[in-house]
Parts: sequence; C-alpha cells; structure tokens
Amino acid sequence: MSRNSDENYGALWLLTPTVLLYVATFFVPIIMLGVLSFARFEMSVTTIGFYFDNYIKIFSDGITLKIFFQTVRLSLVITFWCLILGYPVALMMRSCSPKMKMVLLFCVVSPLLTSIIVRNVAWLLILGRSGIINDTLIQWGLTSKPLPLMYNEFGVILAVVHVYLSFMVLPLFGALNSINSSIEEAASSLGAPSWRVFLSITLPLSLPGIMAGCTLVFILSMGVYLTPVIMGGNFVLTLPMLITESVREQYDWPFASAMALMLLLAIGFMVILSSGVQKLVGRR
Amino acid sequence: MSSVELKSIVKKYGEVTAVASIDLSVESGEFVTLLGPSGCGKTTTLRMVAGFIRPTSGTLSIGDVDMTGVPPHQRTVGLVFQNYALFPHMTVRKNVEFGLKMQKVLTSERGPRVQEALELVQLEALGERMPAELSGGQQQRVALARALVIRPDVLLLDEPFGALDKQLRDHMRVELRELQQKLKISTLFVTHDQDEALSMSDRIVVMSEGKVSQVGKPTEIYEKPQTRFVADFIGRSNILVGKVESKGKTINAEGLILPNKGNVVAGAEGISVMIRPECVEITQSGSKATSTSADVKGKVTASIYLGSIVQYSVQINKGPNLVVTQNNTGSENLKNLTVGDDVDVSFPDSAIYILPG
Amino acid sequence: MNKPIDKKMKLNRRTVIKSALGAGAVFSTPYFFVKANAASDPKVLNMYNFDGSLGEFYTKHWYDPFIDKFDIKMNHIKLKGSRVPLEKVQAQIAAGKPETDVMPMHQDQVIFAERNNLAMEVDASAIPEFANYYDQGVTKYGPKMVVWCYGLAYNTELVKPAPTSWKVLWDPEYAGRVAVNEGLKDQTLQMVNLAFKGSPYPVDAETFKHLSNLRPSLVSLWSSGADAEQLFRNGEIVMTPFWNGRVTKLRAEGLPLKFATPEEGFFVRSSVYGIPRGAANPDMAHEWLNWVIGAGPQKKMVEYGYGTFNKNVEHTPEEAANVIVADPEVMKYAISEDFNQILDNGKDWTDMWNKWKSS
Repeated sequence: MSRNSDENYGALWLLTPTVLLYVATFFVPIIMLGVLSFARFEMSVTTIGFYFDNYIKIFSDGITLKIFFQTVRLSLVITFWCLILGYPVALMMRSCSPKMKMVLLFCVVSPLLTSIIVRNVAWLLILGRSGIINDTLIQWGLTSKPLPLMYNEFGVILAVVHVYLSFMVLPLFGALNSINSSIEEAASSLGAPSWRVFLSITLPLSLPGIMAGCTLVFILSMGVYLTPVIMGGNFVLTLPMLITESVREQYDWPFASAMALMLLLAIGFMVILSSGVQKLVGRR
Repeated sequence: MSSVELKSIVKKYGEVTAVASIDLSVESGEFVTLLGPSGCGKTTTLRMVAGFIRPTSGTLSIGDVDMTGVPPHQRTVGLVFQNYALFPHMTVRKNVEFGLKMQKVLTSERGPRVQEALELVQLEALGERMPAELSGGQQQRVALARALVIRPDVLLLDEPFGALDKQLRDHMRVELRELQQKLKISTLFVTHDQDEALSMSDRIVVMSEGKVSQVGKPTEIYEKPQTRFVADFIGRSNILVGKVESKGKTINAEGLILPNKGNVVAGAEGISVMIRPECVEITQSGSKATSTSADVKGKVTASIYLGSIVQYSVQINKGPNLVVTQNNTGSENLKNLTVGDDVDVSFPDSAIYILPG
Repeated sequence: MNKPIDKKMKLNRRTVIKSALGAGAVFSTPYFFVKANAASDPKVLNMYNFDGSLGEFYTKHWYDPFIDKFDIKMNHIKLKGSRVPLEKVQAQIAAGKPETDVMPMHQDQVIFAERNNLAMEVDASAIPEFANYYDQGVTKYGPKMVVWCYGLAYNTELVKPAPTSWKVLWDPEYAGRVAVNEGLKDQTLQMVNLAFKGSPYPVDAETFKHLSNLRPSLVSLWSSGADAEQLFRNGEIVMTPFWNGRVTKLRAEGLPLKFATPEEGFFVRSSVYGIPRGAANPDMAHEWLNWVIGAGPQKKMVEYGYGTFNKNVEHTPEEAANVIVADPEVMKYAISEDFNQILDNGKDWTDMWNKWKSS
C-alpha cells in the first residue's frame, strides 16, 4: 500500500502544468471577476470597493433578471431539441456500418468546422426572404408573403441546435455504444417488442450519455452570443449579449462581472444538479 | 413432438456461408449440445432459433409451429448468454419479472412465479440486489431464472459458463443438468468445451465449418467418431493411416501391424485407425506385460506431467509416434519412465477403432 | 525612467484597479506577450486596422506609403467592427503596455478616454500639418479624421420616390423590408426622436413608443456594417439608416443604392486619432499623424468616400456628393450631438432598449 501511495505522490508532480494553467486561466480570472463585481462604476470611472450596486441592479433593473431567465429557457429549449434530434442519430451511428458511421460523424461535426459567418450565409440561402423554403412555398402557392424564418427565436434555435448537436450526439453515441447488445437481445427474447426494448432497456441505460449531452449543450447554450446576434437579428436577447454590451459599449466591467458570475453560478448549479440526478439514478 | 426442428437451414452473409444446410431437432425434454470450434456456425444456429438471425433458406419450427420469419419477442424461448446480459439497472427480482411483464402475466401471479424461479436457482434471498452486487456464478443463476420463469418452449444456452472459473464451471454444470432434468425442459446448448458437452448432453451435434459432422450420444461421439474431424476434436487420439495386408488379416498402420478388426476388404488403402492414448499401456522394457495384442517396442521421446495423468510420446520401433497417457497412480514403474527409456507398448484389441469411410 | 519608488508603490484604490485590470490584460490577451517585445523598437509602429475594403484602403494608402517613406516596420492589429475595444485598451494601459501606438476613437470614446486618462495629449509642434486643418478637426488628443455621415441608405429601384424623411421607415409599404442599427443604438434612438420630436433628445418612453410602431416592419437589428451589407445583398431589406462610405462602396459594386440626408437632420461623425498613454513609440506616432492628415493621404480618403478636415483637399463634384460634408447646402441639416449625454445615458438607454426588445 505504501509503495502505491508513493507512486501517486510522484505522479502528482505531472499535474503541475495543468494546475498552473487552471490557476492562471480559471481561478485568477474568477477571483478578479469577484473583486470587480463589487466595484462601483460611475461617470465612466471604476472604483474598487465593496459595493452591492451591481447585484442590486441585476435584481431591480427589470431587465437583467428577465433576460437571465429568458437565456435559461432558450438553453432548455435548445437542449431539448438537440436531444430529440440527436438521439436517433446516435442510435443510427451505433447500428450502421463503420463507413456510414464516419459519414454521419462528419455530418454532425461539420458545423463546428465552419465559421458562424459561413453558416449564416448558408442559412440565409435556405431560410431567407428569397431562400429555398420561401421560394418553394410561394411557388406552390402555400403562402403569399415570405415567412419570417430568420431574425427571430426560431432562427436562433435552429442555428444553435445545428452547431451543438454534435455535443449531444457524441456522448449519446458513447453511452449507447457501451451498452452490450446482448442485454437488448435478452429483453427481446423475453417477449419485449422493439419499442419496449428501447424504453425499458436502451433508454435507461443511455441515461449517463443523455445527462452528459444535456449538461454540455445546456452550458454551451447559456454562453451563446454570436448566433443570436447574427441569426436572431439581435431580437433574441441572451445574458452573454448583455455582458458583452456592458463591456463593449458602456465599459462597465463591474456590472459585466456581476452578470458573468451570475451566469457561472447558474451553470455550476446545473452541473451539480445533473451529477446529482446521475448519482440518484445510479443508486437505484 | 419435437420442441425445435431445423430443416435445411442455410445462412449466408453475402458470399460467406456461415451455416450450410443443417437439419436438427431437439425432442421434448431433451438436452442437445451444439459442439464445435469457434467459427463452426453453432452460435449462428442458436441465434437463428432465438430469432435474432433470419435464415437464408430452410424452415425452423418451435413446438411444431413454423417460426422461420417470426421476430424474437414472439417466440417463447429462454436465452442465457455467456456474459449473463442481466439488466444492470434493475434488481434481481425485476430482472426475473421482466419476461412475465412482457407476457402480460397478472401482477398477483408474477410474485409467486418470480419467487419460485429464484428458489429454483437458490437465490431467493438476493431478490433486492442489483446485478453488479452479485458474483459471476450468482449472475448466471439469475440469468437462468430469468430465462426459465417464462416457461419457454426451449431453453437456449450460449456458452453460459464461459466467463466462470473452472471450479464454479464444473459445479454449475452439474447444477444445470439436474435442473434441466427436473424441469424436463428442452434445451439447446452451445459450447466449444467437449467436457461440458460430454457430461451434460443427451445428444451432441458436432459442427465443423457450418456443417454437422456427427450427431449422437456422448458415448457414440467419443468412442465411435464417424469422421476424422470428430475423432481429432473430441479427446486426445492417435490416428494412423494404414493398408490391409496378409490377405485381409492385418492392417499395416504406418509400420504398426494391427489385427483387421473391422474386416476391411483386402488390399484397401488409406484406412484411418484410431487408438485412444488412455488405452495404450507402456512398461519399462524387460518387465512383464499383462495383455498384449501386439508385441511392440518403442522409446519414450517426451513426457509431460499433467497431474492426474502423465502424457508420453513414444516412438515405436520402425513405426509411428504414439501419444500415450497413463493414470498417475504413483507406481514406481510410472515414475521411472524418462525420455530415452525403452518401453514395451501394449493395448487391447478393443482399443483399435477403424474410422468408417 | 527610474522614478522614486515610494510614491509609485503606495497602495491606493487606483493601483488596485490598475493591477486588477492589468492582470486581466495579461491573462485575457495572450498575444500581448508577443507584441510587447516588438513594441520597444523605435523603428516599429503598431497600428489598428479594419476588416474588409476599409482595411485594404488603410494598408494601401495610409500605412504602406508611410512605411516606405520612413523605412520602418509596422504591425497591424485587426479590429472586429468599427470601434477600438477601449475596454481592452484600458486594461492594457493599466498594465503599462497598450498594444498600439495610435488609436482611432469615436467621439463618445474620447470622453471615456479623457475621464480615465487613457490618451496622451499630442504635441502640436510635432504636427505642423495642423496649420492646413480646419479648427474643428484639431483636438488636444489628436486630429479628427474619416468624417462620415449617418443618413438613410435605400434601394433606388424599390423605394420611390427618393425618401427625404426618416418617417419613410414607418411607411407600411416597406413593412418587413427595413432594418435599424443595433450596434450604434444611440444613433437609432436619436434618429427616432428627430423623425417625430424634431430634436434628438431626450430619449424617453415616447421614443420607444415610436420604435414599437416600427417593430413589425423590422427584419433585423444589425450590429455591424457588414451585417447591413449582407441584408442589402440578399434582398432582405430595401432601406436602413446607414453611413455614407459603405453606400458609396456598394454602389461601386453595382448595387442600386443611394444615400439620403433626411430633412429632420442627419449625423456627422468622425474619429479622433489619438496616442494611448504609455505607447511604445509616441514619436513615430506623431510623425504618422502629421503625415496622414496631409493633403495627399486625405485626398485618397475622399476618393474612397469619407470626408476630411484638410483645407487643401479638392473635391470633384462626384466626390463632394459622396462625402456630403463638402456641400454646405446639405450640411445645413447636420445636427450636433451631445456625446457626454450619449456616454452617460448609454446604460439607461440600453436598459430601455433591451426592455423594448424583450417586451
């Protein structure tokens, strides 16, 4: 036993670069955020101190809290659609040939390989006023005026789901792939039709993947900024947009810091919640 | 009435033939084993019976009902896998209950039947455990209870003991066979382990390269193999090639002169003669031999100590190399035999078996 | 450079802010490490540059000729959008290393820079070209350049007759084909006030009432000139409040666009090109400012489409039409903006704006 712990002690030193990186890129900025969030910003000048101005403003200005909950709602909706659309893809990837698997994987990951600008142009061609969908609908006489498919919440959700789908599919695929198929065969030999096998066996056993994917997509969605700006025509507001606005237009670091901490707390809460759910399910 | 009947079942994957026209039946209450090396098509056959694989051609019936194209969940088969395949997110009780739920058995009836099944495998105390909290042997018993509780037309066992250590495996073997005989349940068992096959089966189907090599009782399979493959695969054997000489009275098997026990016609060549190593006796040259059908001398070229037996390689003078095993009785004679010793070799006439064909 | 330490090291609020922001600069801008070394060379100038065709203009006419003339090296830092990220520069100055030697500042940014002591006062004696500059183009932080107008850009084929009022945005005929600017929301708000109240201030509930009326007509709230360009190119919109230089450029590409200066008033803005405090090479920065406000480089900017304060630059009739500011008749309609109010009300206006958007 003692030899074992000696070895562990030696391995600890290998962690030093990682720990330093975390301290430099995570803990130090967070502490700075904390300090700045209690500063006061008046007439363009920041004064360090211990003021609750920014937190009071978050809860009392009638807009920040509203946007915060709107961001949470938007993230939940995005997470939901990622799950609904991603699960069948992950299922298919599990059962198809290795070649087909690569094709699917590429399709899912491809949005990550293109910039938001390129994707936006592509969406314009599809969803725009004279895009493929509107052109077709008008030609078939199904609508006389182009439908507003972009520059609204629909456009934002679609574009974000498109990008973040891979963060749902990959953990789901991992979880599904680790389910031994003989477990499902056992269920079907015991008389379960395939939908029942899915609901009773596959779905519950893929829960770790669902939780991981949902947590990941939710966290990423809470931080989404550029897509609502471009695809939402700025009509859809998220907390990261408020934070950026506060820094870039008002140079108000203190208020931006307070909002950023709020976002961080919400995300932290979500992570704890999801790991709690997983533990609970694991114990059952 | 046969529980399972396969007629001219063929399974092809593109150009590759996994199973080439198999005929097979499991009679009611019978324990039939599919035995063969990996890749012989035995698991494919079992999975066709379970319904996971659809045969390319041929018909398959269970309980005298044609089931060829019927999906697995509409067949009443109990399936036990090598890796147990228990539902990891359900308790032992829920695992066993699952099949009853699927069969829409009334809730009030399910409890006693689950209990009964758990008692059958002596796990009645562990119903509330999760599978991960059980040992390998216990998990396999749960899998068995889960398969039996639905009262299947046939029990299908796919190398069920493969993941267990040897002692547990031997123990489970006995237990399973007793259970099967008690319940009189038709069973199709897949294994590559001949000891399992020989000790448990009513009948053994030896398979090789997608075909049936021989079907028969364990004794027939071991003592009267019908093909060279079966003779080789089951147990240790010396197989010698010989021709009939002396007007049909003897067979010259690679220099060893044996009596023509099978009355093979004079002049025949390329005859396969099998002598099981445990039937051959060797003694230090000069000491008195007991019964001798052939007065043969040889030299020990290798000796392998295997605990209960010792396996020798003996080079017969002007003849073949024979594998000989002797029970480790602790006799001085046995202990003194070492590589290079001259030995007298003897075996009874009954040890000589001439393969057909 | 060695100053008495006791005074510098005294821990007061300012030093705490400095170190907090400075540390922020160090951790948030990795490329800062790279730039810092190059910066101390007197023959190297670090400059911001813009994206797209304006960036190409700067490189070709305002940077490369200067490099050749003075035999120096220059590093470009690309900007995203049209504004220098002053919040970042502030952190860099606190850390003692601004990333450039020159920074173009919008007029509200000049006030912010002044309040936070971010810009050096320029040495007018080192910029003799100021003699040829209109007085309103000279500030203590540097010359104003790139004079641009904010009016109404419209599609000449689809918007008829040519609009003369901001109110045309509210015209039901163009519902669903117009957009306004989110990036410079202060201008949008002032524009609404001009259209209905005759004066750009105050921004109040009435302003947003008119915006709400406009809301169903709006396709998008665009953030950058490039976004607005794309809306025109894809036929999503037929008009939007816009600035003249972009319109000139798009027209040159063949788009049927024109720039109108509504009779309720339009906006004229320019940037002050200042030197950040602590810049590594202020001497060369002065040299560049003096050179670039000269008639030669300024004429090039007029050709590109933006106005100048240099008295000696001659305009062709077409250039005069493009840059607007050269035409005294049109300039009668230019309104004067209160940048103190814009900066100090920015937060309230933004809150009201966001409430309007999410209502």
